[in-house]
Amino acid sequence: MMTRTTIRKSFLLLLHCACTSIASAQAPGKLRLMVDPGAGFEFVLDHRFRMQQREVELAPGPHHFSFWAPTRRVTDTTITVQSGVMKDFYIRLPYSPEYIAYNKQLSQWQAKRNLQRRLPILATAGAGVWTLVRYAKLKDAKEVLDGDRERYRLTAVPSDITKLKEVTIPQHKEEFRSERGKFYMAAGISLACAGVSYYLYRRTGKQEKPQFNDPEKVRFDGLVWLPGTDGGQWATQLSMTIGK
Amino acid sequence: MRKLLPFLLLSVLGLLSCAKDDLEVADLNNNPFDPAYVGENLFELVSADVAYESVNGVTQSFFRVEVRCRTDRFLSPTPFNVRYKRSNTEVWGPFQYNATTTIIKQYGYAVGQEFCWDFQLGNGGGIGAGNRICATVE
Repeated sequence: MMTRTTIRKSFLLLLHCACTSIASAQAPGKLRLMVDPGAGFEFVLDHRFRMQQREVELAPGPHHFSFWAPTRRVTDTTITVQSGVMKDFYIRLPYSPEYIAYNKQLSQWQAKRNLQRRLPILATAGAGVWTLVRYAKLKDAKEVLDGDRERYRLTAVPSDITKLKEVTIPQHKEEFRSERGKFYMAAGISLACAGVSYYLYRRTGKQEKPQFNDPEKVRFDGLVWLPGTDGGQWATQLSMTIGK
Repeated sequence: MRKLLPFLLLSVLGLLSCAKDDLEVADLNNNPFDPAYVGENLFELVSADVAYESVNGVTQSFFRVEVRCRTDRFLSPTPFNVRYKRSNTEVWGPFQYNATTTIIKQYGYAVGQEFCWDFQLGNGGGIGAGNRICATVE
């Protein structure tokens, strides 16, 4: 969408091209910009015009470009435009040192946060699995006791009943108590792990994520006119080369 | 995470409720074949009266006592044995196989005299529940 500022900028650029072309009496050349990153880049042409387009039509001769894109370093270069020629220009904008440092800081922050979050959750999951295993064992022990109760009901031999009551059931009850103790321990550890996970999850949720303030953008913005809320102002100059 | 925690707590509480040991040996006492049986009497008096019989043309009377074994109180259907003895003696009679009803003939009695017998349930060489049956000659 063309804003009023863009229209004004385009008009001034055309005026600049026209003036220089008329002055030099040569057809303008075209420049197609192939910039990495492919989107979001901007450039300042000849220290005056801040632009975003991929193609520019310029008067023949050398032109200064300052390229910039978010997280990238401002890169200055001079391109010579030839009359009536469409030229492709390739450039890769390097990441700014501040962004590299920020990225490292962000990675460390994320690694720490992941450690604080995932480790307790993994421990909770492990403890949960252990609890389920212990519960399965406890259930088996309970089923053995239930089987004893059924055996008592079905047995019709007094000596078998006596043995069941005096030996078998106490032994199975002891096994059941042992399994129950292990299950309580596993459940307690699971709950503790869940509590710690919850606490750390909440605590890490309050940790501030590192912010990236792009100093290269500030530098780039300082190269030329900056739009204000009411449109801003141009501070530029027009120069004409009088013919040879 | 916040939604998961109550679910986790409820699950653990649910699991804990299943971990109850409700089998007490002392509560296992309702099997009539258990020597420690404490349920209702297994043997009960059906009838007690004076009866007559003829032996070699001679009619004689005896005190006839009919005792029933309450097999409906067995926890499961099973074969069984019954034996009994006079309460004031130490000698048990032979086991009777599957004796749902036992008839005792007591010769030599007097009106108003009380007789008591101890009954026992047995199986597999062991002794289970038993109780005393008393009857008075009228």
